[in-house]
Amino acid sequence: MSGHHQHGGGTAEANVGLTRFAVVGSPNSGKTTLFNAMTGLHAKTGNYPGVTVARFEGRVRLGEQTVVLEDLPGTYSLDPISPDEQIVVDVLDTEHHNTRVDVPDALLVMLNATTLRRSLGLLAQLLQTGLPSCVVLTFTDDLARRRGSLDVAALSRAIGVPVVPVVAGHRDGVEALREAMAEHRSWATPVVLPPTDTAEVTAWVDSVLAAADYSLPDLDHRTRRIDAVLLHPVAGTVIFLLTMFVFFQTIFTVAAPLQDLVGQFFGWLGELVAAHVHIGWLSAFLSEAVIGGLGSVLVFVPQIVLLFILIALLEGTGYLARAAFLMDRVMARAGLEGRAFVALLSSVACAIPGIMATRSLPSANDRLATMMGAPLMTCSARLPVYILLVSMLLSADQRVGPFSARGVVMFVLYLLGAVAAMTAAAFFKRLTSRGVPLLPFYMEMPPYQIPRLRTVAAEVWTAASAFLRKVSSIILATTVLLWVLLNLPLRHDAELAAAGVDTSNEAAVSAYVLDHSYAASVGRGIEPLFEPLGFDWRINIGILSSLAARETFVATLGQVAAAQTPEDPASSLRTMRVQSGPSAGRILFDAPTIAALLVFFMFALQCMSTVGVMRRETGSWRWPAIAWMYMFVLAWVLAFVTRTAVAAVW
Amino acid sequence: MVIALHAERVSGEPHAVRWVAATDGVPAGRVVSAPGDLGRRFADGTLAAGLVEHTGVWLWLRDGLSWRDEGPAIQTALRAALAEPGGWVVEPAPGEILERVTLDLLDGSVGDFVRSHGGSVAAERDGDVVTVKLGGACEHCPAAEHTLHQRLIGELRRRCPDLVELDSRGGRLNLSLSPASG
Repeated sequence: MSGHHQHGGGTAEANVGLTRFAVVGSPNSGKTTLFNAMTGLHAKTGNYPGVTVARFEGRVRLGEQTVVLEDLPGTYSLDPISPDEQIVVDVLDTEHHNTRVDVPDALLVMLNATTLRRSLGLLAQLLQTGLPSCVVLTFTDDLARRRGSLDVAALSRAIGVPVVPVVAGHRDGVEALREAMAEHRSWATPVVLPPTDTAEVTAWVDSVLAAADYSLPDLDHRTRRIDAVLLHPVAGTVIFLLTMFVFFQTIFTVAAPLQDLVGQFFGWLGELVAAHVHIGWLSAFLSEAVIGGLGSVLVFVPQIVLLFILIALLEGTGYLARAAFLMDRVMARAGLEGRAFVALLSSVACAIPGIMATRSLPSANDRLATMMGAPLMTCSARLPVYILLVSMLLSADQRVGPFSARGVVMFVLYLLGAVAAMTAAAFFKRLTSRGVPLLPFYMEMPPYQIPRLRTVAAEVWTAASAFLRKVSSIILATTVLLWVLLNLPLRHDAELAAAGVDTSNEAAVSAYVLDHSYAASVGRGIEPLFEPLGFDWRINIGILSSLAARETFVATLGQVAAAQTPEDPASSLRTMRVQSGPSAGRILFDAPTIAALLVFFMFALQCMSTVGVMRRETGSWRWPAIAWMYMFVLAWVLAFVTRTAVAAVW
Repeated sequence: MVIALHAERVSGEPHAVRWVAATDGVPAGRVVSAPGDLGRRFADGTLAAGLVEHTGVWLWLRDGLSWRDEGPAIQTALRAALAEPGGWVVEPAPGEILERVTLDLLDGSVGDFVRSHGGSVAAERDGDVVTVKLGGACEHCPAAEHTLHQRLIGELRRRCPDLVELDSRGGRLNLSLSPASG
């Protein structure tokens, strides 16, 4: 047995002999949420043998015993139409079992209470396997909100297996499920198995739903009337684009004063350090690395918070689902489905949840194609970089008509990111599968509602705290490392004097140290690569550091600026000049260079966390390597084209 | 149009299945003979007994047979038979139907409700009259009569539209079906 486990990605090796539960259900039935809640995110992942379908397995402690939970790919039926669904069929095929994967000992069947009619068809098929089953009923809170009804005990009697309602975010349901799982040997089984003939299954489902007193009211009139406009092919698309436009205007106009406040706070902090810390290197470390570096990133907390407030509001009102529906038309033209858009949309927050969301895609090819495009969506880590660069490019009072020019450029950047992501996804889809028909796509339209303050607050808190964690861990570490590299090797006064530096002039000293630091050597080392784009060693160091996290780019520039002009780092970036080479003396951040940088950041895959998740989801280094390479080439070429074009017209 | 139905387990009776379905047009009572394939299964003894109520059909398998094996074929046969309400012959059994339905409810939602209040409830039949008795915490509770009344009678009326309440006092509830139903 162990031979095929190794072949299968080695995930099951340590779990031999333990009771195996498989989580089965349609996409969006809350499968993964439950899996994470049960396994506490300590999941092992691998691939099913022979196919690039991710396999998720985790251990769950049930009192004395430990069991294994396996998250099977989402499926609407056991009549496979995609490789992922084929996996579910293979795993559950108790009669003609191929020995490549283990048959589970019991099933946890996820049923979405708001789509029960469709989900019960899947249950009817699953019960045919004869495996002990327990239904996990999700989204009962949604059902209640829509004033629907369902008698859980009667449902359990009608289908003949235990039913445990679990609402996401509530511990009680998960606890009840643990208790039920511990007693899986005495689970009730159906006295007669459901029918197999399609018409008879439909009749069985009708009968079960009637017995369980199930009702799901249609969406209300108001919702339908609003949808008539918002889902209209022309009016809806125009409104969608307008909404997005206002969205980015808001990010700039509302957040700007708050951003200034945070900026002033760090300025005050800098003065405090200068006045009270008299140990030379410590004072420099605090003012350059911590305040200049981290402070320059933390300035963007208001924008991040605002971005997530707006996303949470759009989602909470029910508009985001409509946006996905509208985009389904556009996506279909690209050979992809609306669900791929949901994954791309999640990438506006961060590419990682976006890539995870591709798991809902039934086709492995669609999943790969979407993953190849997702990192091009403008993630929130690009936001600080864009804001810094756009603010240097345009002044606050420049306008396009009545709108802030900065907001307009931001909107265009996000739009271009989305277009690029979809084009890339369409390209890879065309490459991997020609002429494969589109799979059916279900999407629930939630009724419009006033967003719940708690939900919005929770989402914003999650995003903001994740940002702060990132700043205090990886960005801090990178910044400290860079500070060291920017200040080493140490220079003696004699050495400085020999180089013709006035040792009594602090600015001149720090400029010399910086210019001859290890970091400068590294930056100069890769200068030939980026010279055509107009980047000098300082930008190169920023780009290298942004491999840790994109925001570090801002921190690095902040450090360099603080070191060169300690008295006024804010304005020093604008007046920084190229120090050497053919274009020495040119303002470093001139319009062509900023435009090239913007385009470079738009396309380059500088986020190692994304690469890591891609490797996990595809099961090999092949696709992340392809993604990194194609995005780098694209970023370089397009940045070069942009620089040339802007230089010609500016 | 395929008739909607599903099977439910009868607790404590492995040979019995309650097939939940609308029995429109089929008279309530003990099955004497049924149309088509279902009728043949009664004739050859595969099915030992049958009872038709307003919202379903109770079927008992002969000893030695299992519902897992026979269920799918009987389901198809029952579906066909329910489409032919004129072909059924039944004999009146109001007391037995009322007892079955009452026990079914006490086993399910109504019983759960009583038990959740720390009470107990039982039913016994004397001829055509079924008596429901409350015990435990409910026995001396002044609200019991009202709450039990609401829950049980409401559900019973849905399952047996011709229910008659004889009297109710002191935690006892005497029920029967109207003779016309027979």
